[in-house]
Amino acid sequence: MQNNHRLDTMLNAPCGSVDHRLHRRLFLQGSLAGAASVASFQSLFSVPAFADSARAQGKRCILLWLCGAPSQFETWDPKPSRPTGGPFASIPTSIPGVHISELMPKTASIMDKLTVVRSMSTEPSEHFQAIDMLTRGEPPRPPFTRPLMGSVLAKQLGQLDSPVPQFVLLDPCPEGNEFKAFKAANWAGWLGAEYGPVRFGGKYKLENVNLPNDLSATDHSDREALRSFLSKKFANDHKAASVQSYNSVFERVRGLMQAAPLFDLNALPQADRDRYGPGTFGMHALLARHLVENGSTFVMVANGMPWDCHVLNHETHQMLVPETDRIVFHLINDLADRRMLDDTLVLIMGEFGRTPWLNEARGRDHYPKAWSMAMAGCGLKPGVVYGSTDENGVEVSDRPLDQRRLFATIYRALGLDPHVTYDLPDFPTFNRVEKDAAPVAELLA
Amino acid sequence: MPIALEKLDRIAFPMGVMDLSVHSDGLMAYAACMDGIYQCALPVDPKATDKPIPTRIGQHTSYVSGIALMESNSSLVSTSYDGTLQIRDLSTRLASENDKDEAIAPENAPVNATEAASPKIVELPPRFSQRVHNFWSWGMALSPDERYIASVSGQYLAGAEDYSPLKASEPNVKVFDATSGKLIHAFEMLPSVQCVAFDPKSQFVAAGNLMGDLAVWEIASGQKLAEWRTPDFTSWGIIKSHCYIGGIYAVAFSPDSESLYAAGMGEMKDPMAGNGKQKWQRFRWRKTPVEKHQEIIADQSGEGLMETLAWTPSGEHFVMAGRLRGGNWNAAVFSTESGQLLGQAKTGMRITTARFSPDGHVLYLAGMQGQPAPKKDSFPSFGYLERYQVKAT
Repeated sequence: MQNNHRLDTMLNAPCGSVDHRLHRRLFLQGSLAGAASVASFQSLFSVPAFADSARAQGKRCILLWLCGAPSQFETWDPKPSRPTGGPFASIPTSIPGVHISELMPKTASIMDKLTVVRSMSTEPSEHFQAIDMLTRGEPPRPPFTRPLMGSVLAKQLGQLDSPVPQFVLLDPCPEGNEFKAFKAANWAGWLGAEYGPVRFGGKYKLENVNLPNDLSATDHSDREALRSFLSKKFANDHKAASVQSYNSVFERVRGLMQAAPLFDLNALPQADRDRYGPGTFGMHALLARHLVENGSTFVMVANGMPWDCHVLNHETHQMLVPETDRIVFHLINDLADRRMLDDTLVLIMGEFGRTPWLNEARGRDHYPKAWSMAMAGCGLKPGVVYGSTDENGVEVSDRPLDQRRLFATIYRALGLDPHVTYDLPDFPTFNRVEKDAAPVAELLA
Repeated sequence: MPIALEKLDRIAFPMGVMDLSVHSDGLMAYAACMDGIYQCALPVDPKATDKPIPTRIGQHTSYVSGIALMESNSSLVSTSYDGTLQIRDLSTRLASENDKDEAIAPENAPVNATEAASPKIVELPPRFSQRVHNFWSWGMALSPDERYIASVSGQYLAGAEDYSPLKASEPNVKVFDATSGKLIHAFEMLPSVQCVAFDPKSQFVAAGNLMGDLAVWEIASGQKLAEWRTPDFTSWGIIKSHCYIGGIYAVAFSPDSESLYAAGMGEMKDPMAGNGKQKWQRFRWRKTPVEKHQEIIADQSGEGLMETLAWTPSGEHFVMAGRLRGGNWNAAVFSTESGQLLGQAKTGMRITTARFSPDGHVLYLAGMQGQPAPKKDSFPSFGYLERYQVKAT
């Protein structure tokens, strides 16, 4: 179920108008109480029907969010034998001459399907600011809140009338320090709450989506017709813009009721769960594949922020990287096998990289100056390794890339104009990507 | 009786020191470093103005994690994160410095951290080199009678939804003949097995792992005599992530072999801060079930991962040392009998290894500070060996 914070954000819009406060009570009495008692439509909507619709839908995106920031040395940009290289060796990949960490043997075999950037260079060095910027594309400019990439894609590529949530965040960890703070923030920004994520995982479950036994589908349908009629009448009488927002949320609740079976991990084939699992990150990556197959536009998969290895970096990466390796391998191959990779963009990244030098606690600290990320699929040129760092990984030595150009490239790959101006009355001029940052032609198909 | 630890000197190594072995005459030290195996002559007078320059005598293809000097046959054993075991014959003439350019380092061997400083490199090829693990050798021990070598391994991979470890794909506690390198025993334990020790009589070998599992085997029979779990060293990262971190980083038998000590750090509030309590626990491993007999006294403990345990030759005291995250010490002397803290030192570096001289008067502490950023294209040294005078006050 949509989290209450997001509802609160929507209901307590920054304008603070009497209109919003007036309708909060009505809304809560209406839609939320209704949501708690509405019917299960599971028998009316089958998963194959969603899938057919999704295939016609077009482009979508899965973000494997490696929160906390993985080490580029133990993943995409190894420096074996260098003082900064750490204990792991590098291995050749399916791209001649390109090596990655020995912890990623499966991914090495499909490097020709990936697009890797080894020259990311950004500024924020603290988690909250970096997570915020690398998911929105810009540093903050209060009091305006730029929407997350997921919200932008949900609006531009999604089908709002689809019962399947267009933007889903899968993350089992209730805590996560800075990531927790970020998760409590306003994700959809000026696009409006309806473009925020549906959260699932851990304590976030799809609850109250089953019809009570004593309520028939017909009765439920009748109640919905009455609610819809009253809402329209209320809107006409009061000319309240807020009603539209409330109705959008109500529709999402109804959609979730219908889409609930899609979130049932236990219903996914055991063979798939064995390949992606057993960890939660893998299970949620599998669920992400399942959701985009069935109509979601943007699915962000996170697992708390385990990559923040200030302590025992190599001892933790020895587990995290092989898990990611397996997930990336199966996800990319599965999408390719389903002929979905051409329309599905997969992003594999965190908010920055980690220091070339080790601290006293066997850890690597935050390093936004020179780091790596990887992508695959939709609109990208496969088998490309873009940019490079020097022999010790201290500086970007070739074609540095900041978040604006990365976002411009991502939007272009998904068929969106990166420079379009938002239509925001009484706001300053905002563009989807600022400063006319150009997409990277070498990365685009 | 209080014990004072008075620092005598500090010797720098290009990269971090992960293990240390010192000749019983106190004149030569051998260090397992991130970038290779080093030999260093120790000055008789710690106040000598000329600091010794360690000589690199060999390399593995990754960090060297364990080192042990066999004085009986003048051999040097080393293990590495590359999973190999090497044995060098120290009686062989070291290649002269003139051979430096021709010294052949293993492929992918770490480049020395201070290339600009160009420390001495005198290659001493191993007489025995074999891959003994598929993953790191986390630690290595030489039995006191110098007959056996034990090496422990195991990669932590997710084995369940809660990220508890996957069962090992190969035996990961291995005992070898110290002279020939021949495998004698191969035991299994849940990964990752992070530390190993022999008892003073060379009859038993013990190991500890990420999950707080401990086990003791009899060397003669290969029989497992005890196994148990202590939950006090392992964190499941509720704050930031759902995976396991920490575990036991040092084990050591008591002088009478009847107790096994484990060291590490307690549960962390934030797994990425390393802020668990400095911790040792003592177990009567022959009891059924195994009994926790003693542990560090709560108000004598600061924060930080403890990585090494060592006994004074008399057996009256032991040292636990590691990293200081918070508190007053990162090396402390405890009474074997009471467990009371008797003396302490705050060294300003993470300590990986503590060793006593045969007379118990000198404590050797080796380890590293954080690796500095490069200056003028070279990395300053960050590995250290410090000597301390041990005094009863």
